[in-house]
Amino acid sequence: MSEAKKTPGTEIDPRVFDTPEFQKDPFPIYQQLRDHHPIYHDRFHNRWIISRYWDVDGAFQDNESYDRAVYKPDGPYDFGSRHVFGPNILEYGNSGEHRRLRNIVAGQFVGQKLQDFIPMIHQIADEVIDSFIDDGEVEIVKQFASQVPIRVISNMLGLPREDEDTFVGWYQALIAGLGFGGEHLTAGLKARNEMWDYIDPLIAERSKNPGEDLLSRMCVAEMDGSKMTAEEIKGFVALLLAAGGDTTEKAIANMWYHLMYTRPDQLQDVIDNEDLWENTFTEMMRYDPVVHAQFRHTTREIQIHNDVIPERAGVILYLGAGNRDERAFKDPNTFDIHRNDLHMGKENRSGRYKDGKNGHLGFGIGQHFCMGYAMARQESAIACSKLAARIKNSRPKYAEHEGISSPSIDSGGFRTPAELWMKFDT
Amino acid sequence: MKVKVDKEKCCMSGECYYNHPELFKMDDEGHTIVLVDDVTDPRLLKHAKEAAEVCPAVAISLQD
Amino acid sequence: MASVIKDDQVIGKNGVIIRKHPQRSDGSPKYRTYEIYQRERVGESTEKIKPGQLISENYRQDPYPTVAVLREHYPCYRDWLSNSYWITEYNDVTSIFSDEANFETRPKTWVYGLENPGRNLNEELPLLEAEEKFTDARADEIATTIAVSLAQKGHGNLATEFAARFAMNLLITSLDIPSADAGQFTSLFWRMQRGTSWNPALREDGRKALDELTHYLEPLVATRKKQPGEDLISVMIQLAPSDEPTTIDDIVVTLLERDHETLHGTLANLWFLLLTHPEEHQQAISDRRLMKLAYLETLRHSTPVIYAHRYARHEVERFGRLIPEGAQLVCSAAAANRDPKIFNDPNKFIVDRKDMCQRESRGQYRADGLAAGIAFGLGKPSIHPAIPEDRPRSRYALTRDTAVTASQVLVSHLDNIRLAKGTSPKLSALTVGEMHTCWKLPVTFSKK
Repeated sequence: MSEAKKTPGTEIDPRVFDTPEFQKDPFPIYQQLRDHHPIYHDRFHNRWIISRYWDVDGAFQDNESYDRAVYKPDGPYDFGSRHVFGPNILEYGNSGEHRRLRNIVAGQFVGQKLQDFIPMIHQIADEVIDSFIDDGEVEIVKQFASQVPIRVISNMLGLPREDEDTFVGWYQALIAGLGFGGEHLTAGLKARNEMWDYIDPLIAERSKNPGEDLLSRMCVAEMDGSKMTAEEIKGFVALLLAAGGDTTEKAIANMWYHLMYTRPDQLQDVIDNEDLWENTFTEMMRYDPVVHAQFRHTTREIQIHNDVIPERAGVILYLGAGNRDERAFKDPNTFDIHRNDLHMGKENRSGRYKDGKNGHLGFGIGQHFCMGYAMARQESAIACSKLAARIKNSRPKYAEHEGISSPSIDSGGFRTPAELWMKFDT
Repeated sequence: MKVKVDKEKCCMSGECYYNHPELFKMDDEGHTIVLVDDVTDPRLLKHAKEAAEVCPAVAISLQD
Repeated sequence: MASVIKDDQVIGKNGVIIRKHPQRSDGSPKYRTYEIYQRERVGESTEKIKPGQLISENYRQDPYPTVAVLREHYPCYRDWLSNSYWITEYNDVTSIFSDEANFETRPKTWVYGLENPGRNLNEELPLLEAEEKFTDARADEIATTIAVSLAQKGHGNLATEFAARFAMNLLITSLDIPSADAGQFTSLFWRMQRGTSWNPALREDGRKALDELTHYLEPLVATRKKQPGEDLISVMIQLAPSDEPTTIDDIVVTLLERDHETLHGTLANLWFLLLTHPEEHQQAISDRRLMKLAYLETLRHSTPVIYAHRYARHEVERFGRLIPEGAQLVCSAAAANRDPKIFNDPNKFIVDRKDMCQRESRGQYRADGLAAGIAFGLGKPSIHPAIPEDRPRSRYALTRDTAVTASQVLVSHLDNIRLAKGTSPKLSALTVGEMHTCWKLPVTFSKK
């Protein structure tokens, strides 16, 4: 590892990553990382940082070298014991275990099986909108964005609609528990345990009498003669509720935020043509994705940009930085739903597209590509276009907005505006 | 059975080679390369059928 | 939330029974895994410390209260922010010393990322011998020079003009650096050592200093190759370990890997403690033996090197959790040295402690069955006898004797050493991660 020639004055003091300024607006630091430190060794936090688009893409593709798992699958680790969700697919790295779990479940979220849920999504969107349609204004984060995904998922799982409020409470605690502040973790574990107790009898019943819902499908699904254990199913439900619910909720809020404050001139285009909600979704995922970073561990020494990452080092892949890389996108710091250098159609795992355009990194790439990508995209597009169709003359309630930021380091959660008020006519 | 990938239809989604790397590989552009010429192992055959089902472009077919 | 509570069951709106946790016969709830037990047993909040506190200003000024919380509640604390695990109990920290199989130390050359670094000659016997010989012969005289010049002034800053200067002069004289270059050498050495920090600006400067030092030493080394002297550089040149002649890089790496903090830091901290504890002060200056005990107690109570990193060679289940391969462990000497399970009244500076080992510690195995303060800078605890017959004594012993000698000399030249009026000195680190010591210790005294 030789220190590459550094331009003086471009050093990054690693303490910057803990500042509220970085939480609010990481993009200037991302720029510095990409320009001057494509591989950055943060000794203060004991980790390495990769920020350029093609390097992040390459790291995602190379699962052998950049492993997601912290513990070895054949070691003494009791899988799930260190995760607030319990045993779930996020804990597995490059192993057969991961592929087994993923292959069982991923099929349920794409293609025809996904299409079966579309009518239900429409219905839920309508119900949620009904609750505020006469108010003339709505706080999108609490009244709309956070109400739709959790109800969609609990419906997909075939959980009773009467208990929806309970699920909302549980899943908010679960997401907060993903963070590392202790009170949140305790609350998250408590919520998870309650949820599991609730689901246990359902699993027993649906293993015997499976229905059409996702939970039944998970109970009976088989891959290579092996089924998911009850523990794994419960871990998955926790994961779906939290990861599938929370991220989609943020996506919906962020899409409206950008059309109201970042590019209000493009809002009318989307209102006139509801197909453009898909573009909005994609550009939002590029411009300021819900998740900005993914963590990996190297399994060998890796040569990169004049430097060497040692074995078993912690690496952060900044997707948020890669998405703003001018080596991949023109005018990367401009939000534009009509962009012609971003693949606007459905994302896929390989990150390669026939139209030759670059995709965003917001869902990751490759082995661990987000399983719910189609679900998230479809759900957000439907919910948003439904809202747009039922209101007229939508406009921000406040001229100023403090913008999107990350939650506090202690609590888990993803990037979103804290509040988003919108006025409308019916 | 022979596993065929229609290059015209293939949209490089990656579902085949990420789900079943024992049967498929990605080339530099993202297209699929079939690794096993003639699939006889029943387990691999099952995987090939699953891949054909999951492919969003319906580009994989099994032929005798 | 749920609607009905019947007996001890909770029933959801849809009629599904939400069971409570199964009870053990003694009434305490079962835990799903040991990990969760670890977390849940600590009362309402499982995190009495947020990782941000471990890199905060507060910690830089006074790490002791913060690490005490860790020691009391978390045998192995996962600091996700700094991607490390904190080990804070005395027995755990010392157990890591003797566990080469599972935990490795990484040298300063690794921290600098040097490709093909020179060899570290610090463990070579001839060098140790020469150091012992030199220090025993000259420490007194070097200390005297400093004491005399201080005495003439009537006042001074013990931290810089005594502790730092003595340690540096010892090194410079042992290497026989020409006195005209003393200032330059000091600066280079200090910059090079500071550069092992996490701070990229310091590291870049340190790297430069390393190159400049190499450049500076080249002519010196060339001369001494032809005309060897008695100084340590000449000794290193003649070492030729494994029949490969010593290179200039070997010498620079040896200087880099050398401890630069313990003698300086402990001396400064020792005098800080004496000056702020008048009774103990009188005790220490009354007797050489008690001065030695004061030094050892300083090494425990206010050790300058408050932590060391170790790296897990592979996954290992230890201290109540599974530590992943490659994990960085922070072994906190600050916490371990104040472990109430090992030392009574651990936060008190007691010169004549009965519960502390007065002989050199052997890592986990303690002479007299007593524990000693953990001092990281000086390498692994010795496995040789305290007063070996066929080899020089260890650096730990050498440093201890040298520090005591220097303090004795000071006391014999200066009377009535007092803190200057109106000063309240304190210990802190220049940045998080650096030596925990005092940089301003203004004193007044009278000539003897």
